[in-house]
Amino acid sequence: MQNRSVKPIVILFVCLVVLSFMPFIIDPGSYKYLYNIFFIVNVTVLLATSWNILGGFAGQISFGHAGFVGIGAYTVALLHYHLQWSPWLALPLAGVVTLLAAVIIGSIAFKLRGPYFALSTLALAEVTKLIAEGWRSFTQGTQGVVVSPGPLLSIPSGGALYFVVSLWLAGFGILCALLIKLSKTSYFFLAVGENEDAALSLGINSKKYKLIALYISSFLAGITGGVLSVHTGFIDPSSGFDMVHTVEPIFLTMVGGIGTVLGPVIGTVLLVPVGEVFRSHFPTAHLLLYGIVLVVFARFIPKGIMGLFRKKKI
Amino acid sequence: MITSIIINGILIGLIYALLAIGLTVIFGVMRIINMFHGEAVMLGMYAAFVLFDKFGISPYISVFLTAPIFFVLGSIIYKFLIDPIPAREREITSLIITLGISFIFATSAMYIWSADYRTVTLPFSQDVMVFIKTRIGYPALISSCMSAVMIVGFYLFMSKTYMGRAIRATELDKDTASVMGVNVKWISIATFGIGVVLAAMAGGILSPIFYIYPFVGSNFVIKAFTIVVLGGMGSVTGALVGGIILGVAEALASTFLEYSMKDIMAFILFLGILLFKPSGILGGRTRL
Repeated sequence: MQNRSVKPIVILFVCLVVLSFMPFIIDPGSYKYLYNIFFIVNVTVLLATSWNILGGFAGQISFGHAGFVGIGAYTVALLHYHLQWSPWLALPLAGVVTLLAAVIIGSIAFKLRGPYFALSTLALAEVTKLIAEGWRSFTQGTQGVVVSPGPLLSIPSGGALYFVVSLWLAGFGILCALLIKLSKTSYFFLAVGENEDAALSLGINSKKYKLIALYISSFLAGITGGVLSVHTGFIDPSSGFDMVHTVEPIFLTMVGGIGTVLGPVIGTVLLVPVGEVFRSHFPTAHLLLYGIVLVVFARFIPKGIMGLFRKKKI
Repeated sequence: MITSIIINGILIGLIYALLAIGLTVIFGVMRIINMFHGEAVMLGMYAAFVLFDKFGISPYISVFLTAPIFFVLGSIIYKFLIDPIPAREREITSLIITLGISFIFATSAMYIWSADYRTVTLPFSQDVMVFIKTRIGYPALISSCMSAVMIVGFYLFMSKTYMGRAIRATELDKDTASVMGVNVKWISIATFGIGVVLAAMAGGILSPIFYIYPFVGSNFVIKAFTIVVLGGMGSVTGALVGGIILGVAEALASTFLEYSMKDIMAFILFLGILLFKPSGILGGRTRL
């Protein structure tokens, strides 16, 4: 690995370590609302990065991230409910189970090109939600499942723990995106996303790269779902498979800059706190805001905020 | 028993087919997936509801009154938001733009009409007729017949009129169509308008038999996509066949399996057709 590749990773790592000391400076006990927003920002960074790896890097638009998040969330909740697993222990499995779902959907949807993938992921999100609602003996149906996270390595669960865990998970997501972007694979992704025919004619196995992007993305989205259900302590079909989990990453990535590592991070850090405050005052109005901003950015500023600093490669 | 299930399935299938035609036409000509198709259906339902509630106009008549408005709406959206996107990025960007539009419409509908479930109750809403031992509600019967008439009408429009032929020529080959004197740009704008009108009309026709609420569109959009994929993208005949298959499959599933299986049928059909016959049931044999 050359110097060029190491520098951004070191910067990321330093940022994560420095931010990890936040709970010592701002007391999580007295700033509960603030830490709640911090947690949401971290988790959303992870989700938006996950969407961006698939939609931005490889050019495969997913309308099914709500499905991935829901599968991850239910994996943690059901392992806890049926087998009394610690939710923390189940967190990696949330990613793995979601990945398995992605293997199935990928093997069907990538047989074809064009818009079929977007539609298949949409179908996945809806079908998993219907299963969660309908299979009452296993998922408790619309009643939902309660998750009570115990301490992690004897650290009691609370604002500080959630903050640090979500922060490092977000860091892990960004690291995945960085490693892809800095490696040769990113050029294959770019080629497949920009012009699949040309990529194929150059001997690039386009299906393979689309699948890789899907697997990484679904794994990260599953983890997002898992950590969300640990934090909320409760999961039901309408919260786990909320359409917002599909729309928010698209919206934030488009605003920040699709196809860049920093785009989803910038979009999330700038807009999620605003959105949270907005949401607590005008429920559901944030969807109207998302719609308008999405249209305006996709139509007039397709490269997002990152596009304004075109010289930066990452 | 089985005949009555199938008859009811076919009746609802005809309405589903009308739902899908607007989507398939837009996809066929422009290769654009219109994500706010469901919201166009929803707006059509509310338009029918408002006209019935305020002025007592039957939805079966009001769909024709509101059609020009929806045509203008669709044309404006295409002209100003989708057409200017460079062709290379259009497939992906149009997905995102139409998704954004769908959220704008659904949320606005919630602010205008609130989240309450609305119904259009016609004087004959409770009446039933019996046909081969099958109980059929009058609103469902009239809506299905009207869908059938409109599908036939649209088929004739596409096969007999200049406009319809121009649309199909554009669908087959933009460049050749343009050489033959077809104004491809105008045809694209008009096709998008027509697609939105068809969705809104389907919504209006559906309004007497379904609940109306702001987020109702998402229920229909998945069904419409399934039908389009079943029938082959861009095919009107395919949409008719696909609609009837979906309607019958749902009717059978809700009778013989659990009721909640009804909504899953669409996805099973969708993924099944992608897996085994991605070109659609008619296998791309039909031109229209």
